[in-house]
Amino acid sequence: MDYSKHTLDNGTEIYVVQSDMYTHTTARVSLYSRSSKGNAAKTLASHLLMEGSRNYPTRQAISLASDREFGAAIGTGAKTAGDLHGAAIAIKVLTNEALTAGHNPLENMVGLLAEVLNNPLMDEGRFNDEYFARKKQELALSVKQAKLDKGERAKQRFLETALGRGNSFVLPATGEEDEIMVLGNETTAETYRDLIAACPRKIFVGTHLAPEYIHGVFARHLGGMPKVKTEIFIGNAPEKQPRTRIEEPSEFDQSMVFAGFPLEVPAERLEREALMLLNVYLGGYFGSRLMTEIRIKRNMAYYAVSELALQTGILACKSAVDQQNKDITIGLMQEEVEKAIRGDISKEGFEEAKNYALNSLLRGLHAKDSRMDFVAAKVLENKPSDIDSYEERLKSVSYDDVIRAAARIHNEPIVYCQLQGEKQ
Amino acid sequence: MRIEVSKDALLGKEMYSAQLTSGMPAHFIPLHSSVHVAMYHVFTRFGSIDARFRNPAGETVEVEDGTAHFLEHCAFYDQQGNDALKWFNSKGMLGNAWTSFDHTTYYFHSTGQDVERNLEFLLGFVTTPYLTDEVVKKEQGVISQEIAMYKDMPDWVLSENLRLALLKEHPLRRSLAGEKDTIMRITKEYLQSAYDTFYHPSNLNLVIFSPSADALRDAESHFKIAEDICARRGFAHRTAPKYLYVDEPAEANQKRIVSQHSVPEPLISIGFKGSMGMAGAADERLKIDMVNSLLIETLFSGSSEARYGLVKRGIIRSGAFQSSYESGRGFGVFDITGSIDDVDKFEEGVIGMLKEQANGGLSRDLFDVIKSGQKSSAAGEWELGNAPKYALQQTVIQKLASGHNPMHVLQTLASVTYEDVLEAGKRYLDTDNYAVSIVLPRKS
Repeated sequence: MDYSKHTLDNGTEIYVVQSDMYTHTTARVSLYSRSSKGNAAKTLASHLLMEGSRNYPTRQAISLASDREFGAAIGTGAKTAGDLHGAAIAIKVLTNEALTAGHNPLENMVGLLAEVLNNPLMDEGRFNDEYFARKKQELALSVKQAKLDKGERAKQRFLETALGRGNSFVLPATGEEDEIMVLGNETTAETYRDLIAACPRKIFVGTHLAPEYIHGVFARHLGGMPKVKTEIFIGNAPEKQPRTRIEEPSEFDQSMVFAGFPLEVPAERLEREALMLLNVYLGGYFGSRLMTEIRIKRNMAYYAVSELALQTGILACKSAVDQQNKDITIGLMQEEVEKAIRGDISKEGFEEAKNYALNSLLRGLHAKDSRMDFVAAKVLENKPSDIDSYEERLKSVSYDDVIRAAARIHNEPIVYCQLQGEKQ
Repeated sequence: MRIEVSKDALLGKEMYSAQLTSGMPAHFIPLHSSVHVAMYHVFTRFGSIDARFRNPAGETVEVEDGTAHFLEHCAFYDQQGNDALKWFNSKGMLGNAWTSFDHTTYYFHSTGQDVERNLEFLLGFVTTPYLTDEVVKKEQGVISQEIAMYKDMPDWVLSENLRLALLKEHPLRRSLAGEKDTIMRITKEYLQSAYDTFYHPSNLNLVIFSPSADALRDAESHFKIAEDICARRGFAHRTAPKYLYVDEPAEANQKRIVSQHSVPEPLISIGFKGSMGMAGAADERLKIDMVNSLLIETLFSGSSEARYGLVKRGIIRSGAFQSSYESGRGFGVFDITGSIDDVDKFEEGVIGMLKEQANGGLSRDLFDVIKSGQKSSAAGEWELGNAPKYALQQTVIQKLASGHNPMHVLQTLASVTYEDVLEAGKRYLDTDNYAVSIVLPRKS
């Protein structure tokens, strides 16, 4: 998987993935910091940027300026990656000159991005009060909404069960509702200034244009930003709380079950890739062990999947079932992972999973956002060399490699059940 | 075999079409030659709105809610009763299907190898039902969990209730996936009747997206493979099924449906009927769809001053608001949805804004800006995006299922004028014939 890296004089790093099939240029500028109780202020500040700038004083004016560039899009947001918080501003611009009658709107859109990022509507150290009040309320509502969303709530509670509440790998990008409600305008404005002045800046770009040209455009528009350090990486996988089981009531029609297993994150790239293939074998496709046992043989669920998180060091199995089937589902998850740990992995099943994984990878090689996300994840994990020859490396993983890697998983399940409620 | 080429001159895209001897229409859409994914689809015009139909014996049949979706699950077994998805996966491919209001699509994604083997398998399981009591019982278990998943989504409930409130007669009222009790009443005989009516090979449509450096040659070779498979399997031409369409009155069925769900503040959807029915030629209906889509996008674009006025007055929240025009075979519905503490204020404010805009308030400049931006979103779909659900495949098949040529979409859009949009606003939105669906936070 190819990419190129460029660095501006002010320390801003630019990572470019390229393909001549793309008609649009997508660029995401992220400002990274350690995830903390300050997440709420950082996210609120990033949301406020879209509300207005000096030259485009309303959200509508920013949107119109963007729409005028051949229907380009601009937006801000924030998310976490491991124990990092990333406040981001992104654009998507039609840059194929055959479709824009010889125009290239990228220059103007990166200019608009720079304006929104560097020139927010602030007076005397405060964001516009009306905008501040509105966005603060919206952010608090989105946190409430996440807590009422079946899937999001269960996933968050599972992570808290596995790692402990307050762990920096668990903190939501939005912060908690009580943290948002006490935020003041000045504090949020101060947080914004810190984001701009001190946070490592990384730009991920997907384009059909020459990387050198992309470098030049961002140098012109973001080259004047303060110099920042370039290095920031996701921390080591945190301690887990093994053999924990929590069951909680809910108001939903269906129970959600998670069974997670701690693992030692391998230092060797080969073993990390072997674990990825093991994850596909266990719960990464329709013919996986979990789908076979839970859906195909027993008709208990629509889906049963596993997810490997090397950043936290957890292999998690997940499904949604009727409450009467939750224990048998958890039992089947434990059984399948236990079998894998002791090396009881079907050779034929492994070959099928590997073939599926390799074909999926090949079929998705064009996908711009996936490529950008993959590069971003590896850069933040400080494992950029994992990107090189990715397809070839995955091909070289053998059955024995997977057996060896599986032994790194600890048979100490962490179970979380969100129980279905009374029928309404 | 006669191959017709349709072109989207604005994007520089093409579609090659032919009718196979079996009567099956086949379409080949070349993708950029650097792509490694080839996508093969078979779709039938049978969706949740086809709740009443005439079977091959000429009898009128009425099916349970969720039948088309249930049939999609059951069709995914080969003649030995093995799950077809597993077969695709075992060969490294992705197989799946979707059921919508007006069609059902089966597909696989491959890297373009073994086309004949894979296509024969797809056409094989779709045209030879394996409907047994055991399969029906098994899928009742799986689908009931799928329905539970949907019911736990407030947006799903909001949308189902909006269609119930808005429509009096149209089968768009019916639940797409069905209810737990309706799917328990579905039997193999029932499914067989729908299958016999809609899954005959001549009622299926083949749609292939494949990387290609020589599109005509690749279209011919793919069509030849499909033709050979149809001949081997003895697929023969048959008259198309008789669809039973109903006349939908202009009035809304009821003003409001209120329900409760897990939401932090109320959700509200306001629905208007768009173009209902199958009157006019396909290109005329496509134009109406394009006019209505541009209308709703211009009205509620983030660049609209009128919309921003609603945000400033606290009537809508910019981050929790969306609008759309959803259309298909014989239906079109406007949907304006938001999350807000005061739903009455939302309804009053949005309806007031619509009336004002429909009566000349709509900005001509903004219309031009939004219209010119449509090329960007259409071109963006050809980048394919992230696997496995590509917007391009859904857009193209949805247009074909509605009887439209997907290569005509942008040129039709280019022909839409400000006056067309203003007139549509007067016709469809300047009215009290709308319905409202509200989801309130659960009292518990």
